[in-house]
Amino acid sequence: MESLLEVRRLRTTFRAGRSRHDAAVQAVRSVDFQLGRGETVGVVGESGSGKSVTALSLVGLLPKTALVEVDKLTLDGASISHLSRRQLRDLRGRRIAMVFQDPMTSLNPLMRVGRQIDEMISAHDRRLTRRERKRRVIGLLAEVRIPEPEKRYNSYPHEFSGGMRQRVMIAMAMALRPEILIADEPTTALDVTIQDQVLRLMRRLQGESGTSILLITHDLAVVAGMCSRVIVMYGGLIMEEAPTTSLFAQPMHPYTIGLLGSLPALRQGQSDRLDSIPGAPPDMTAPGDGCPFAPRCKYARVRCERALAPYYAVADGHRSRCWLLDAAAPGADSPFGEADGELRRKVVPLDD
Amino acid sequence: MTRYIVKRLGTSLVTLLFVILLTFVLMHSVPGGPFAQEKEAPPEVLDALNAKYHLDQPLVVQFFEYLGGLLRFELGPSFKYTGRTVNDFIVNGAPFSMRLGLITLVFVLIAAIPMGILAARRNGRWPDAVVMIIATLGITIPSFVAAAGLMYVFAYRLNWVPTFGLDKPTSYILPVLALGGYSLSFLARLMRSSLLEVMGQDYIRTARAKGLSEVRVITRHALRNAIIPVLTVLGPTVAGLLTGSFVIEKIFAIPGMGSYFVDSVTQRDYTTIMGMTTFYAAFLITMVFVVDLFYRLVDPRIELG
Repeated sequence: MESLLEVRRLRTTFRAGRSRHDAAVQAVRSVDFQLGRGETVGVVGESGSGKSVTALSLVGLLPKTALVEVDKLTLDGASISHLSRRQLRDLRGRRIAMVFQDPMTSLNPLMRVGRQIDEMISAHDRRLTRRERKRRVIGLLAEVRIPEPEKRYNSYPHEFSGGMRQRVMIAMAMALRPEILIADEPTTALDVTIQDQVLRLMRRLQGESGTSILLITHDLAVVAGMCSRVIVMYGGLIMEEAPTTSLFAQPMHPYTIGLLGSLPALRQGQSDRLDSIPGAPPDMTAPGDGCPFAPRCKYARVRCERALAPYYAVADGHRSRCWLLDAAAPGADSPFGEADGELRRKVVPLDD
Repeated sequence: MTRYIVKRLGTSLVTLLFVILLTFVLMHSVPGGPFAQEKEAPPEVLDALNAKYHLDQPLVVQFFEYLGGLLRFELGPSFKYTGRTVNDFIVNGAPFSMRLGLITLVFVLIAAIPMGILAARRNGRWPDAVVMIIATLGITIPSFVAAAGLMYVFAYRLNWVPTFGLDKPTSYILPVLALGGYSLSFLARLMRSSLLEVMGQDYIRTARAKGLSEVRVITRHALRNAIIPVLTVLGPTVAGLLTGSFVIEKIFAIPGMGSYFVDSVTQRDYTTIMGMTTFYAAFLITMVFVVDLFYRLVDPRIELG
């Protein structure tokens, strides 16, 4: 697949206090990934794993206390890592649009929703007249299935339900047919039935416009339904990346295994107990040299605490950052099950 | 909307009635009376005076007689200044008081809001520090101290502005500063903290994610949201300016209503106390009502009714 967005060695740190000597929070430590044209990639991980910060870093939407460094950041082959503020503004909304988690607070309560969508168009296209824009906005509202769009154009956000507001956010984000849509937990604040509607809407619009979606979520069910590829983040690092089917069938990182184990099983006959991953998320001010997951990992060895593992290629497009995949690791009580020996023969360390 | 206005008028009248009743009761429970003097007057004279002003009648009758007068907009004769009515005091004093109050209010608003915005936009840097120092001084220094200080420096020492009266345009400068200092500081701080809070809201991030310029983000999205708390305290601010003006008028010898009010209380000039209180209360209730209507214009979430 043609690569649309390419990110190499993205690092984002937050200054904790005024002074230069205050400990900085290393929210994203080194992240690289690609997003293909028309592709949907999921980014999963628990709160504080750096997934939202990764997304906001890409479009320069973090507060001034954040320092974003990146070795390579290209959109459609052209670097977007050193854009001026003006160039970055031109890119935001037009080429990379965003949908946020909480539709209750993401819309301005004092502005009519039609006007809020209109702003997206007027900010980037000065040729259209007010009337032409209004017609387009009404068309967009109809597209996201808001009933009576002409009337609803003049409504305020508080007159909409949560699901409708999120559809307004999507209409706004898709108004200029962006190349990339970053959806940061778009369904987390919604009822399960509404979640499905919103996801379906995103898929339909994607089908029509060919937009690539970077879907940030902690809900693996959403990933299973939407994404062709998944990135698993922990402690500001990508732990595992794989095509969705391989990740669910053969997770190759203890953290991913833990995540999958914490999913409730709806089928009968399986264990009633919901597994959880013991321990707390890592201290991001002093991450140390080892694997950030090591303190919570029941397979952790001395080596895991001393150094961070490189990526190992498990299969095509499937990589994992775990010492257990090293050829020298002992096979006994492996988390990867019976297939372990056979798998490990195929595992190749990747250059980091 | 019409229903709301009718309803509000009704509750306003009830509030006003309570204010009148309470003032009446309190006034009559304070010892002394309008004709009590150091040199005892002969009882016949006192009786004649009391009869003339209906003070010999039961309080209930007096109260309803007063209300009847109010309906005809007659606030009664002054007990202290023979031949003058309370209506005269208001007609003579109100223009001065109102003009001073209005100028101060406008000054406070056009200074405090930009100060707050500046401080919030330069948060943690020197413009913020300067605004906060001014605002802290304004809140902590009482208006009469500020008035005396300003008068000493700018009128007496430097002789830039007159010390008293309202004869020249420059005469307004010191009274406005002294009267508005507190409100100015309070509103500037409020605007600052409100804007800072709004700038951290999700919808500001949404606006930025659309690619809007920072100027548009602030003018179209942040300011309208940030001004709401300022509007909320506008009613009490007007009240503060009005009551504050009693003292300021006295210090700068401004012939407004305030000086009549203060004197009327010490002299137990019953009708003047009642008339002034009723007038101020009615004015305040009206101002709060107007602010509430404004509120509705700015924030569509507020349902009136």
